[in-house]
Order: sequence, then C-alpha cells, then structure tokens
Amino acid sequence: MDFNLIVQNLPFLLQGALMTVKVTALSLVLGVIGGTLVALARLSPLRPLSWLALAFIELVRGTPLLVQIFVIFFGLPQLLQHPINEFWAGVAAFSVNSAAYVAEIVRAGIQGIPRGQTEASRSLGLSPAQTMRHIILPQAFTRVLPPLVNEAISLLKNSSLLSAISIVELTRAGQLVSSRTFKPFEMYLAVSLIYLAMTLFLSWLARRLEARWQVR
Amino acid sequence: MKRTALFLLPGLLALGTASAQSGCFANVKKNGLTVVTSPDYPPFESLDASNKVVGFDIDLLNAVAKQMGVKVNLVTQSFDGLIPSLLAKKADLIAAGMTVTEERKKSVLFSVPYISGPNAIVTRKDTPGIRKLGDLAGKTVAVQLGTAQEKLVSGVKGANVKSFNLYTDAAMAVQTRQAQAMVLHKVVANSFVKVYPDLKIAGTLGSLDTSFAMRKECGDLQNRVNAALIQVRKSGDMDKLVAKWFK
Repeated sequence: MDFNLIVQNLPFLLQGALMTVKVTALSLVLGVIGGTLVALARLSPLRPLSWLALAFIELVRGTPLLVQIFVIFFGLPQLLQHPINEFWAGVAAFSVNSAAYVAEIVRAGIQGIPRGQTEASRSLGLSPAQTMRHIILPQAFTRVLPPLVNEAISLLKNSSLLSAISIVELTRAGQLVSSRTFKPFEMYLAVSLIYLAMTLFLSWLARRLEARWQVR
Repeated sequence: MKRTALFLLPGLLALGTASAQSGCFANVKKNGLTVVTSPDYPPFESLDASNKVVGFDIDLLNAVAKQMGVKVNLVTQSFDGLIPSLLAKKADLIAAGMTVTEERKKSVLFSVPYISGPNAIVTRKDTPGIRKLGDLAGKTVAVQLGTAQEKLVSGVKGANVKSFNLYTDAAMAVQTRQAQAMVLHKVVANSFVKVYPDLKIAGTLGSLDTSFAMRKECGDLQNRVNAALIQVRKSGDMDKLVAKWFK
C-alpha cells in the first residue's frame, strides 16, 4: 500500500469528484423535471399521450445506460451533423435515463394520494391543473423522497460509466492515475471512499429534508 | 493502519523474492505462459469475425512459445489494466503492441523490440492543417487510456486530450467529429483508415519500439523470450509474419 500516492493525487481525484457532482446534479434536476412531466403524461386521460409516455419509459428502462451513453455520444453527432461536447452528451443520456425512472416514482406518488384530496380540491373550485400543482404534487413529492434519493445515489454512482466517453469524472481520474502509476488498488480504494463520502452526504441531506417535511 | 502496513511490508517483500527464486520460466514451463492483450489494435491484435483474437502479436507469440516449448493461455482485457495485471501476477507477459517507454521500464522488463516504426496522426479527410505534433494545439485529440500516445499528446500545450477505453472508440470519435484527430502506431493507423473510409493519415511522428513486457523479477523469462525472438528472426519467420500482417 502506497498512501503517499493517494495523498499526492488527491487534488486530481477531487477535481474528478467535482465533475461527478456536476453531471449528477444537473442530470438529476433535468431528470426530475422531465420525469414529472412524463408521469403526468402517463396519467393523462389522453390515451396517445399516455402510451407515448409508457413507450418512453419501457425503451429507457429496457436498455443499458452504458449503451444509451454510446448511442447519444456517437449517434447524435451523425444525426445532427454536428459534434456534441462529451459533457452535454453525458448530461443528455443521464437526464433521459433518470427521467424514465423518476416518472415511475412520481406516478406511484401521485396515485398514492387518496382520491378524496382531488375531489375536495375540485369542489373548492380549483381547476384540474391547479389541483395537481397545489394539492397533489406537493404531497406526492414528500412521499416519494426516499425513492428519489435512491435514484440520486444510483445516478451518482452510475456516472462512472461516463468515463467511457472520455469525461474525466472521479472513476476516470482514478484510472488515469493508476494507468500512469500502475497502482490500481490504491486508486480504486481512494475513489470508492470519495464515492462513499458523497453518497453518505446525500443520505444525510435526505434524512434532514424528510424530518423537515414531516413536521408540516 | 500505516504502522501495520509498514510492519507487514518486509514479509510481503520476502514472499516476492521467494517466488522469484523459484524462477518465472520454471513456473511458465509448468503452468503455461499466461499472456494478457487488448484486442483493439489491429494488426497487432484484434478480434476476427468469429471473435477470436488474431494478429501479428498473437502469431509472433505462438512462434516464440513454440521455440520455448511452452503453451500459451491468452487473456484479454482493456489496455490500461495490462501492466497492473502483470504486476499482480495475473499474467506472465504482455503482448499488446506495447511501446517501450522510460516510465514503463521502471515497472516492467521489456523483451528486445520486435518492431519499430513511427506514430501517425489520423484525421478525417475533410480536416485540413494537422500534420505534426504541434498542430494538435487547440484541437481535441482522441487516444487510448494508459498508452504512450496518451502521454505524448498530453505533452502538447493546448491540446485537449480525450482518453477512451478502446482505440476503436477513439477512431469512432474522430469519424463522428467528436475529436479532430487521434494518434497511434502507424501500422495500426493503416488498418483503421482501411475500415473508416472518411479517415486519413495526416502525418507521422518520430519512431518507437514495440516489445513484449514481463515482470521485473522475471529476468530468466526475459532471457528465454529474447533468445526465442532472435531465433524466430533468424529462421525468417519474422519476415513472413511482417509480410502477412503489415503489408
């Protein structure tokens, strides 16, 4: 074990970790917005819209994330006849992937709110859209916080797949150092500890949020 | 933790030397020569239509093993993991079109070089003005993770280096304009431009030696491999292999 090697390369690894956080946070925000819209489409009384949402969910859930990343990174530039920066290709792949999973989480949350809530809100004169926005969604999100945190954690860890399209996130940073020093064990150990620190922080944040929302 | 690690170290070192004394070649003779390679570097090594590893390195390796009277167990993995695998004793030898570098020499033993030649810059046919290393400044350059070419391009000020797991991915990145150029061994560049009609060799750089790599303590194995390589060269088989794969 060469602990010095870890210490020496820590700044570089942390730089990679910052990229991991950037991609994950951006994709999570876009994924939650997109996923909520897909969930609403899925629950829409408009049949074609609902089917379209279902098709999207099945397509994304049924194919591996790594393959989706390659399809977007190598496929989209050929379609658009224009190169895409690997960072945005990664964010695009992750947002789309996350949207599909978040859609199912949010759908479960919405369907978990008792019908009486909608009926009461409608009889108070709120429109269906207002009911969804002010009554149903806020309650649904409080309930689905734990599975959403799960999604955030798996997104964070899956961001290691972005190394394949040359994004220097945490995993690739570790690989770059170990391919130069030929000490993979030290590097992967350091990399796992940094991932663990990040996911523990996320879990802690989620517990605090849950505690706060419970009081209201 | 640190104290324990230091305390354990002499024990581990003793273990290392103990196995060295038993002899790498004797071990290879008994268990076969375990070779790691990364089959994304034609014509050195690649997968054929039936997903079998083929190439110059593989034919040469078999000729060398025959000379030594040992059998070969071939294992494939990504290039950046080859030296760590060797050092972790998962393999006895690397046959992967590996360039001899000073940095690698600190960790491994190289055989006598079996081929020498330049690196090449590959671009799309419609990309103008990239001919020498300095032209890569301000450009996005695709290479493979852990290669000598990655190091070479990283030394160019202002070059935006993108490391991929496989050279085939790097080539795809240039083909799809995700990168403007890639740098790799000239003979491999020749194979890639045959497969990707939009790519061309835009320039050649310096000269480099390609060798098999072995563990530091395996001087006995290195001697046998070198003797076998010289024998293969003398017999004319080397020329036949060069003609088969590089022409």
